[in-house]
Amino acid sequence: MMRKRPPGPTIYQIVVRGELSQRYRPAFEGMALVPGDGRTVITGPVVDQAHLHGLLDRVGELGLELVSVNPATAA
Amino acid sequence: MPSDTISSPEHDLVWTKLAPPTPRAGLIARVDLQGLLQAGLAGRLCLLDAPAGFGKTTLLAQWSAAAGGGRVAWVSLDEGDNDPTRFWTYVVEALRTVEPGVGASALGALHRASVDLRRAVLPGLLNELRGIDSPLVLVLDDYHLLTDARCHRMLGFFLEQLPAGVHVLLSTRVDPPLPLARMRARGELTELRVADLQFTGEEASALLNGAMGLRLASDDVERLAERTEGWAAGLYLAGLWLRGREDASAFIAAFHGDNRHIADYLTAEVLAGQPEAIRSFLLRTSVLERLSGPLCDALLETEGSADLLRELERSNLFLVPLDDHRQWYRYHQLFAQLLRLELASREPSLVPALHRRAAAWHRRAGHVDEAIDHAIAAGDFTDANALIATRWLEYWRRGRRATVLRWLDGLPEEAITADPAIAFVAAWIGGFSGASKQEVERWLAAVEDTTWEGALPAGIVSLEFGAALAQAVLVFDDVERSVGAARRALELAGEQSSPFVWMARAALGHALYLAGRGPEARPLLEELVRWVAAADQPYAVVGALAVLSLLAGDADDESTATALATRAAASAEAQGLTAEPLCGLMQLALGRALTRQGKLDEAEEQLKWAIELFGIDSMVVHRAHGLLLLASARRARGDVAGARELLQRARELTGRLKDPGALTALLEQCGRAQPGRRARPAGPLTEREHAVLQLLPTTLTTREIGGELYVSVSTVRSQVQAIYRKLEVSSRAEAVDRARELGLISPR
Repeated sequence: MMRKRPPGPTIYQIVVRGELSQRYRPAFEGMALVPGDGRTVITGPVVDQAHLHGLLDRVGELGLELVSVNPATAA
Repeated sequence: MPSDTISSPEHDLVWTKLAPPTPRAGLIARVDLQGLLQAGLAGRLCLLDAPAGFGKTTLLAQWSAAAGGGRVAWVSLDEGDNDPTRFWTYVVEALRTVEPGVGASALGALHRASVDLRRAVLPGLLNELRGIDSPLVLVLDDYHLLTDARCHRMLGFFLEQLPAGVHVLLSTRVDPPLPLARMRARGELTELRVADLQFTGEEASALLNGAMGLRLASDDVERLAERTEGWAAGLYLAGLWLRGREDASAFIAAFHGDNRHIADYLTAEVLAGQPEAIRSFLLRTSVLERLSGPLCDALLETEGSADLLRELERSNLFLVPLDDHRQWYRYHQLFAQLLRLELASREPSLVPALHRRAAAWHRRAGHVDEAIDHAIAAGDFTDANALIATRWLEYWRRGRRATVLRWLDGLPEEAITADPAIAFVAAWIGGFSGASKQEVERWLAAVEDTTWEGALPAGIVSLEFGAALAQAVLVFDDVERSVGAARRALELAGEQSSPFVWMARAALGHALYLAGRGPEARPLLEELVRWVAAADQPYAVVGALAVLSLLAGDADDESTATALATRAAASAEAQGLTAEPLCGLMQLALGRALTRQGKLDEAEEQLKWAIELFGIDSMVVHRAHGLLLLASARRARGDVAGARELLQRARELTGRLKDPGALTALLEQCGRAQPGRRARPAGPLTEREHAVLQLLPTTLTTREIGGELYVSVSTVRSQVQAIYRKLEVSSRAEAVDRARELGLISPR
């Protein structure tokens, strides 16, 4: 039986409250931090669920308030 | 206070984890909340559940000092406590700080190689707790750091059985996976959540103008409370930021309209306001989980850190003292995170060097865990590996396998496969913890590096021996391979003798048994148990006795089978191996012997336990065997449908095995013994009825049977009637014949 090739990483947008400086980038390796409008969008490719949960754990560790987590819709 | 520099796992307790952080000056006492906590202790569990920075630990520490009455058992949890043995060791040690009389046997059990917590540790502990004179509270701080499912399960069990005088207080950032709904419904749970912990306007004023000595106007205080939404960390940072500022109002107004994340912005501001020496100290020491004068001196290659730490504490800059002697401190977790980020952005190239120095200091001090953690953080995998290779064996022997697994998890795959000694440890520990055949094979391939000149893992005579031994005991789905590997291991060992060599002998015996070559196994195993004491070679002796018991049972020598199984069980118990997958054979052998004796409840308990222990990939052959034996026990009860289902499962499992050895034949035999021609018993026999049935073929009268079984004659008579009814017979002789046919009693 042929294995299906796993899909590539999904782009996620994790929104937190407060505008973060770029100081927080190393905490979210591989993701971009886009502050604006009283929030910050942490966005980038997420390999799998384990990766996603790891990112969410980081959000908690850093005392950030999670607003939303969504896969980015295709343009 | 015992020094924390003794280095075996049972002595590497970090005593500062067992003391509540000293309540610091410069904070307020939130008396209302303390009252809520106190009231919440009427039930079993009080949960303090809010994100980082809401003042949970501070509240707990203050409450403990003010109202604890010296009856608070405290554990500050960290990631390393995801090892059930370690977690419960700390819990017991904490309880002992309040009640020195409890937990001695629990501690003894915890430091054995492989004990079942729920059976061997918790019941005794709970019992001792039932006998205390006055109530006590167990506080578990930072419970969100526990992710190990076993820890949660055991704590759930502990909470269910909690005696009346014991209360538990959990502080966490996420709702714990415990049966909260059930406790809530029964009124046994109190929760303090974000809404309770947010600072009110008055509290903000008390903090800023009172404890922190600022002189802010009330609408400024209000603005701050609003902007921070009562977040303690934010208010505190704001207080630090405003210290010594003349124009607080202007700053606050600007801050109020600002969108920047509070902690991000204010930490940067507070840091910027420090003298360079302080700032540098804060940033560089943030790599440490806990700080002391000597450690900081080593880290920064300087002197005088102890004084600096005291000064930082006095000026309330993020530092929390961990003991009364002011020897150890840590940073408030949230700030430590931010400091590390700042360090990473300012001096990225310095970070590995800092970790390296910390690793060296901890290694010299005998703090293995911390030394390994820092070595891995520094990217010094070779150093980390060297530490793991020397320590793994004693950790394995003391029930701290989960810790070794955690060390291995921190290493990148390449670091494991590049080091044959570590690859062996990974294969061994991984194989007994549920790793797949594929993963274990990959590691074993790395073990067979004949060019390796580095240290061997403790206890292993050569790499080839290690690889062969691992393949012998981690049978996975291939019995024949296990036989070959065991033989190879013994050849390689030659005249050498070590616990692992003895294990290889026992493994050969077991593999031969599984392959259906029992007669070849017997002499080797008999010699083993004749010459070796269980205390010297526990794994080998327990395993050998178990296989010999199975062999005796196969030859219908039930009394020997029982005697050997009982000996195996006693040895396993004495050596602390009752939860060891490798020794699950003991439960198998004992279960089978009990089945033949008609003690079906006990038999099922042992067999189910064995099947549970064999729930990992490396033990799938043993699991199928266990299912088979459990099927026999079910059938002996008359539960033919249940037996059939278990046989089916065993059949499916065996069908997937590469080389199932003699299991296939055994399965066929069991299948044939199934009653097919006539109706099955109309209902399963109870254990008492079964016991009576065993005595029906004898010449004992009903009264004498009653005497044998310590029941009255009338009881025996009604049991006999029930047996006749279930077997659909009307006389004793018919009952005996029918029972033989159904396999409920052994053949003549």
